Amino acid sequence: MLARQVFFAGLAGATLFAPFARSDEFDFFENEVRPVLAQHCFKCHGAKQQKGGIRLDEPKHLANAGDGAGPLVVPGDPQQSRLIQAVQYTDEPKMPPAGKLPDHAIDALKQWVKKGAPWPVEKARGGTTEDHWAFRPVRAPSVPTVHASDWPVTEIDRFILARLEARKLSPSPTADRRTLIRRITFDLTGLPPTEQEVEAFERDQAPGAYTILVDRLLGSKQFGERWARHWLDVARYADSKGPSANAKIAYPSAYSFRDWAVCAFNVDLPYDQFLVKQIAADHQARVQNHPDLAALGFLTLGRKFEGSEPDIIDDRLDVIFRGTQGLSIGCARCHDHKYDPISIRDYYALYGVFAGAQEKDEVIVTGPEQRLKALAYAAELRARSRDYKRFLEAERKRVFGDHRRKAEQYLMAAQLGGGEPRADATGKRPDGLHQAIVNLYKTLLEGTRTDRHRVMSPWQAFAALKPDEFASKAKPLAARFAANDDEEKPLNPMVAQLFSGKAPVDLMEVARRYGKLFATITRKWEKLIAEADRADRERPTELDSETEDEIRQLIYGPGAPLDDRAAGDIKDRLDSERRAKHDELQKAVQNWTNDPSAPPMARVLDDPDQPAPARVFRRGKPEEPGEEVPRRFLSLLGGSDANPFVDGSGRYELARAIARKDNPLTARVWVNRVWGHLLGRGLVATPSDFGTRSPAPSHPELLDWLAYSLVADGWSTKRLIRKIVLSRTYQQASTDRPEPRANDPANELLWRMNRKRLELEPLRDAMLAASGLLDLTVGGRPVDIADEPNCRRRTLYLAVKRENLPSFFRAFDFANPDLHVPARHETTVPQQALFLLNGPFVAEQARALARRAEQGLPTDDETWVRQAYRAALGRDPSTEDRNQAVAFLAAASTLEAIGPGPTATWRYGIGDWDEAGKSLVSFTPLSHFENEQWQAGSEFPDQAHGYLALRAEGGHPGPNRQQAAVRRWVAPSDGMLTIEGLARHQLPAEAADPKADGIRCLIVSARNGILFEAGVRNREVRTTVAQVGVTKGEFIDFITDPQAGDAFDSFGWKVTLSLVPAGRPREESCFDSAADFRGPDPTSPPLSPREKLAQVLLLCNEFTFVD
Amino acid sequence: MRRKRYPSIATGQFNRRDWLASAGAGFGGLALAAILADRGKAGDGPTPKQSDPRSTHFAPKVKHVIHVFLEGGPSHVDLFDPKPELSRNDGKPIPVPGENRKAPAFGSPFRFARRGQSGLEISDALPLLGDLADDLCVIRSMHSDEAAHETAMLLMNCGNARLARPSVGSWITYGLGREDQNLPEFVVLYDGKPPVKGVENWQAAFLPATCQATAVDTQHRDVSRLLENIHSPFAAAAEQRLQLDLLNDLNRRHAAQRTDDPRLEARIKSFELAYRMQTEATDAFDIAREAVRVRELYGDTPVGRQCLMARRLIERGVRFVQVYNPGWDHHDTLADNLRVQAKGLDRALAGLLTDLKRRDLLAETLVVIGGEFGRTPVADGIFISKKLGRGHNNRGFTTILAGGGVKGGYAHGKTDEFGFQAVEGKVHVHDLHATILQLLGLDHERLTYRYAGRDFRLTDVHGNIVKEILA
Repeated sequence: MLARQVFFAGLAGATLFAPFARSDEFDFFENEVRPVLAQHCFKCHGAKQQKGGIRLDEPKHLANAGDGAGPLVVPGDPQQSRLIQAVQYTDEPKMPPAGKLPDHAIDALKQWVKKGAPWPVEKARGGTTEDHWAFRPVRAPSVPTVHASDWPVTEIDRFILARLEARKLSPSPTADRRTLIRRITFDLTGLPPTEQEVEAFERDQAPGAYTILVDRLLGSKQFGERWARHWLDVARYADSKGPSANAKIAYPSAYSFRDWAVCAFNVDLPYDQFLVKQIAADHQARVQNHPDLAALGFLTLGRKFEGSEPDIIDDRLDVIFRGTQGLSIGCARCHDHKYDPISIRDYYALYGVFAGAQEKDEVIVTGPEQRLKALAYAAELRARSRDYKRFLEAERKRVFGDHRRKAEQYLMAAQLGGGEPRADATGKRPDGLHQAIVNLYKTLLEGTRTDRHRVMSPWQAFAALKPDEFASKAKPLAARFAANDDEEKPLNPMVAQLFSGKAPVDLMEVARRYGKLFATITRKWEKLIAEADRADRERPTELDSETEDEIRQLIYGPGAPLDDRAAGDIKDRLDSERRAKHDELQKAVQNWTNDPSAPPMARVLDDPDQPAPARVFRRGKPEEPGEEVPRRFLSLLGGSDANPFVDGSGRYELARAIARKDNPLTARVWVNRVWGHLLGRGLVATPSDFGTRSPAPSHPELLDWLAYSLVADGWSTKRLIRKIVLSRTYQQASTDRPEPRANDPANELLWRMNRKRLELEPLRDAMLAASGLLDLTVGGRPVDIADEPNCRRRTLYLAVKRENLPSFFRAFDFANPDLHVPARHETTVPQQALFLLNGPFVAEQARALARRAEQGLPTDDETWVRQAYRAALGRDPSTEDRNQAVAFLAAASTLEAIGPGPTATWRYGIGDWDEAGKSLVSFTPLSHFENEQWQAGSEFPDQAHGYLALRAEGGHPGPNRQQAAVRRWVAPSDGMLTIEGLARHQLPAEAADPKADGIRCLIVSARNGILFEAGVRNREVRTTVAQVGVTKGEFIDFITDPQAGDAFDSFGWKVTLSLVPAGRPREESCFDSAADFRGPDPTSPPLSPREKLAQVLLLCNEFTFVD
Repeated sequence: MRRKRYPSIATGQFNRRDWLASAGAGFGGLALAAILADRGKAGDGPTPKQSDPRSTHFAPKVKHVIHVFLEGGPSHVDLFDPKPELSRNDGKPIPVPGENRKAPAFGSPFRFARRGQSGLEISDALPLLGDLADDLCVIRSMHSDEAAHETAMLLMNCGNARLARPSVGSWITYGLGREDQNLPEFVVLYDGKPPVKGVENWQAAFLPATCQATAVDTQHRDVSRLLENIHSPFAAAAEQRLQLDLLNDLNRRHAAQRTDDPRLEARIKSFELAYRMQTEATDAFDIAREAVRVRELYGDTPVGRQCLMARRLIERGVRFVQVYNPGWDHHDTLADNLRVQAKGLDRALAGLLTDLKRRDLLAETLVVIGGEFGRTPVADGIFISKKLGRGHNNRGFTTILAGGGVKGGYAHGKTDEFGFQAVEGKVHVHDLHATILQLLGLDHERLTYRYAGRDFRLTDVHGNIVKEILA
């Protein structure tokens, strides 16, 4: 596209460094050259440092060499360019000094110089941002004049028509009333119109009828639900944090943000306020527990990236800037933005606004009467959590004693070992120590029994001294350890320090010194953990100081003395009474959080009292902080170092800077989103990217006119929507017209309406509407679809769990809640069809729709079909529709019910064996599956059929040959079949009851007759059939029947079948009667013919697409 | 399959077969049409200059990939990368400046031997795989930027350690589309518990949702639990056929007024595909249908069953199957635990390679075996009772390739004499990705997708083909 709005300039003398003419040169530079320079050169020869006076990050420096030795780059002549000489390592200096560049990088630099060393420069970066359409101030353009002046009814129509006329195209006629009401109802509420509404609108031909309809829909509660969902895509909304090692992944009160958004659209909260509250409601309201605090969910409900602050802030900046400004500023996290005038300083100026802010849940109150309740709730929750935590701590202390402060005693006890005092039942010893902990110290000492251990080797050395030699040998030992100069055996410096003063007089003193050291580390570490817990951050994984952390690892590592898990879960050490208390306290917390009457909470941000100055992170790495930048807005949009944020974190100022009337992006981005939802495509094709690389708007003047009107109308979203849907442009038919299509195939000029496909939510909601089951309750806690698969609430209210999104959400292109999603994908995959064909939800709607169409009366097929069509599609069936439907009902009711599912390769039944005809006269499926066996009825034995049953490994025949036990196999494809098996009856034979006269085993092919026959009595028989051809669907029956009587005729018969499909010898399939044995597939009652037809209506394209 | 239709009253005498015939392009066109329709929607999408992402850039060497992901970081110095110098220094601090001197060297408790014609050295933890040494291309010089499981997994799977980026399988699916029309083209198999980072490992991110893997928990043996909604609990196939015929008639009349909209047709076809999947997919995922001797070849372990399922899937045209084999994070007790862990894998992999060869599938399949990183040559853990293990090591580790397009019996690159870091023929994760795409006929620099105003690649701005390993 030629509209790429990047400007190139040759600096440092246009004669030297060629400006870009072609975009492939541009790509070459950006992909091949700039990365090499950035990675290998800029560090020493860039903005920060200019070693040797050489600077490579801007073209104007390339002509110099700093030391006067000639130009670094001679455009067109690589061999004369000192840059190339240096990287080729041909001559001194060799650059980069760390090692020669890879060949391809050198080649790229050479090629680039050869081409004249072109260097792209965005003019915008120099501050002339007005060149890009999106950055220019919004001005009201004049409304164009048109020839067909009778067509437009609003200004919008004039903008559209003018462009059409310029291309000699004409708009489409207005859609018929049924189409129109269906379109506008879905667009404004996400639901279909009822059949009564359709009828009334079709009848009402008054000129104002459509306007009245629009106003009714804008006033409905469902309007907010539909439009809030659009916004939730922007806000990457979810009810959980997503995959995380942290157990606390749910956002239990995320729904308050969702409900706030619904309400904001319904009350038509001005869009500027809508944004300000989502970024800084806490600064604006300054009232505790204000309901608007829920708006902060926009910032706080993102993923948590294992607690990494830079990533969390990046996610927040992304959602703000792509969401409201159409700018991706994420690139500037590591380097100046390549295309847009956004610098790394800009990024960190904004980063500073969020740095150090903490999240917390705050109860919100919607009215004075809830206030007391909410505050009481919060207090109670705190109290319950505190009780539980205190109980755990107390119990731990009671069981183990305060072992954290008794390291010296434990060390001594573990070292001395030997005749240990007897512990009581809980493991407590008379000396007050706990045996479990002593054991852990023992393990520690055993594992460190080496003279090389950096922490414990002094202990081991002192402990090895005999008491009588301690006095004489301790001194030199202590001196050696204190000196710590043995390179072979270095000590942890803190341990060496233990022995710097006087030498210990006995081992107990050594223990005391170690105990003190351990206590220091313990205090430090547990403080860090407690801080993290208080702030709801991820816990730290190590201490900053390597020296300290080495000791921490020793005492806290897995299986170490202070590893609480190693000492055992405290609740497992409680007696039953205390255990009950534990469970009660734990439950009290859980019950209180899950209590449906719990007030909603807002996930809010708490700015630090004294925000630290913002710093650039070099290359995006927090461990490389660079220069300080004042917190401020994007320089592109008027922010400057001279004009920094002054109010605390600056978050409120940021919000207001975004919501300013003269911000050129805010209104443009929003009207484009609204336009996109209504017309099927935005005027700008990239709703979240208005940067210099974005495609130009199809109707730039219209975009500005809409943006201007939005602000002039007090940022009213409802008035904006109303304006658009009242235009004739919006009301056009979507019908194809070959002539304009040839001219404008993508319908960019809007010569017709775009046909829209229902997204997941309106599709599911429309099914509930058609079935009459829809529950229109607004707001509240989300419903987990795993608990309630057939939930009748609107889809908006189903829980969105990042880590476990319901599979049909993904299948139907739900917006990935991990990212800000500019627009949904629209895919067509078979998983969608499987959900619609086989899923229980759709079946329930089909059943309800079929029932609803009967309207409580016995109806003939024709009447029923008419009523079903009206309920599902809002129209009467055509003659063709009706005739086909009636024919379908007739055909469906004559179709033999063969039971669901193609999986029944094995079937289990009662066979009537005809001895004369050598064939089965009948096969009656066994109807009951109980106790791992198929049987004839719920009673066993059964009056008529005796002990007849089939089990995985065998079974029992019925009382006579008309009641044989038949295991039936259905060939899944044509092929060559081999059967192996082993049948047995009463083994060992000596123990067999003499009354048993044995059974008979038959293998019978429906096509080829008897394949195998043998009587089996008190023995094992191989039942082998070699190589018999079968055709797809053919039955192979494994029949067992009694001889004269069926007493003691339990049998075992396992068979394996091997089927080699015709022509595909390698694709042998095997079937094992025992392994494949199972009960019935879960079934629901079969759909009646009418229910099947109702399902078809819910599945058809007319239901899913909106003209 | 097709049963008697209800009598058609439609004057157009239209039936399903006519409809499918009239669609012309067949199902291959469907996916493309869906992508094209998708492309127009958000403005994001394939880079305009790229005419058709679904034709390969070069002649492909392989058609399928099976990636056996050894989750946790298997120890290269105990499996694939022998280090005699490490054994000689066992128990002593390692005399390498800059390396961890606090922990002693840990000589491998496993013995290495030259195996096969090629004499490739493989440890005795993997005896059966060792028999197939001549089929293996061992990259001993892998390195990665990330030493934590979470980030290293994402880097290995998606080419980026932190941000939401499409997975390798998604890129391949996007680039090549589907070969088989009855099954999803990208399948992930895990047993019981998804790997660390879960679905992020096979995310489509900004690519169309169809490019995301279908993830299947193989702890279910019952196919109807492996694949949701794959069976109808209400209706027999014949009854659904009748419904679909009526549905097609309705849709045909609806589309007759809207002939210019390819989405309508795409949706009609998706129902037909789903209808067929009900039988085909059931079979594909059902390893109980394999002969006992084949199942024994792979071993009755989770990874054995998964590898067998992977073979059934690629045999039926699935592009990319990823098998997750967890449990390689041996911080302690490595000598015992690694041996047990390797045993199941050894059988599964040897079974897989043998079976693929027997079926002439190995030449058109790339098998990738490896974890997110390797392990340290020095000992890890708290040294309790000498139950030693190893720490994470992202600076040097081994990944194995086998199958079409790569050299067999070949070892590429080297780590230093202890196995700390790759020093010769270094292969970064991005390079591995570039090479996998290359083998599939895709140029990693040209397989791009425009999102948020930028052209994205699997390899970002990195990646060099590892030419030395190509056959």
